[in-house]
Amino acid sequence: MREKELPIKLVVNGVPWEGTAPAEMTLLRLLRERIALTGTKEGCGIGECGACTVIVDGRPVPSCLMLAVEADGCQVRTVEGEVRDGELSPLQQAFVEHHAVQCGYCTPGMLMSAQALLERNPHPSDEEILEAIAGNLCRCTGYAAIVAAIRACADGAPPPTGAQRPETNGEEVSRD
Amino acid sequence: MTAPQYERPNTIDGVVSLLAENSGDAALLAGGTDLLAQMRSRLVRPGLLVDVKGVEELRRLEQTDAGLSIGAAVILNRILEEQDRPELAALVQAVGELASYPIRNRATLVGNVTNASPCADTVPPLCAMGASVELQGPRGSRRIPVVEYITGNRETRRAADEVATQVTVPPLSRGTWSGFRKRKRVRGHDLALASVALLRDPERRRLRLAVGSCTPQPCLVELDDMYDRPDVDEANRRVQDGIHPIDDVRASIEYRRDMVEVMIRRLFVEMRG
Repeated sequence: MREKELPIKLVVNGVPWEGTAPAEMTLLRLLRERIALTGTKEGCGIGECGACTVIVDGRPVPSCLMLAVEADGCQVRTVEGEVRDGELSPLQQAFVEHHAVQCGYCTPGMLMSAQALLERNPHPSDEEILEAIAGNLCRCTGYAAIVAAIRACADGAPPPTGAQRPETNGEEVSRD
Repeated sequence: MTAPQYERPNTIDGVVSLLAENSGDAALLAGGTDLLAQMRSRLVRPGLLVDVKGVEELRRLEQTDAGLSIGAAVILNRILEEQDRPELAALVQAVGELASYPIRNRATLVGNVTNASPCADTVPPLCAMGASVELQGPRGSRRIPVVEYITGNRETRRAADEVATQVTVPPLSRGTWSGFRKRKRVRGHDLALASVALLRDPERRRLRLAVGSCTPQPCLVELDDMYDRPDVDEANRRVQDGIHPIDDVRASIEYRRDMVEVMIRRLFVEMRG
């Protein structure tokens, strides 16, 4: 028995899409299964890994925690939309140059989080870069190459001062 | 399992009617960052999802005579973007450490409160600030202080046919200082294994300490009697008496107690300037 589906109209990567989806279908599944945009990945399905990150109405969001129907009327950007006229975006190019891709599974979500960062803050500090991608887990690269790629795209950013050693939670825990 | 239905009313009355008609089987949907994860894990199986984001008044984040009013549909990042008053520091710090930036583009403050996880980051600052929740239902509206609204692990005073429409932070005295600390296992997205909020209000001579992730219901300790001579050892003793943390995947009882003490000490140092 096919459950009743809800009508949905949205714009994906500048292209209008119209269709239906069951109430409980996530935006992630809609993108992958009904719009055939499989760049966006499912890593955990509960909003903790960031592999599903897309940009909705200008904001990066976890698409596994959004219902498709909630995206009705929205502008959605996925990683497929970052290539323009056959050219990689500057950020994508930087990921290539800095070896920020290994298995590639975190990459679409990482790119969307980072691209959204650069659009709202063209000159992020290293701290701001780390905060922006804190919701995107990578099991392969150890993050350094990803941060370097993003830093390279931050116009006029000061040159990196060397490897950063993150302290526990950013401050030392002591009893004094 | 039958698939849920979805409705998106555009008035509060519409929300209340749907809740009343579907007694107990409807779930309110704002950010969905808790609800969808719970549905995914099959912890809840609502027959109806009532999306509150279609109600314009619930999207308001505004100063009123009653204080800062945060509507049910206001996402957490808007609080970071639009509120920079120093008296709200503890709340802004807590919001800034909640989950991750993309999650905060969906998750709402009211949702964080009414989901009522003992680890909720916004709850300790809201309790220290004396914030309250407004509920609307078929029997009218009522306002309950956050510290009383949450009664246990994911339990609140909200009836099944009521909707939490806003959280209000009452006007804080000029010169109010507040701070927040959250202890996590990692530097990124993680729940608090323990958290502490401290507030000092010089006009009302209030000193309030709230602790998160260490009790099923909110833990608020009033230290007004030591306002003139804050005694961090005594404050810590009172807090340690009032919390009963558990062992879980994030931390042991001992570590939580230890970290609560460290965070209290650091906040007292910060408060002294």
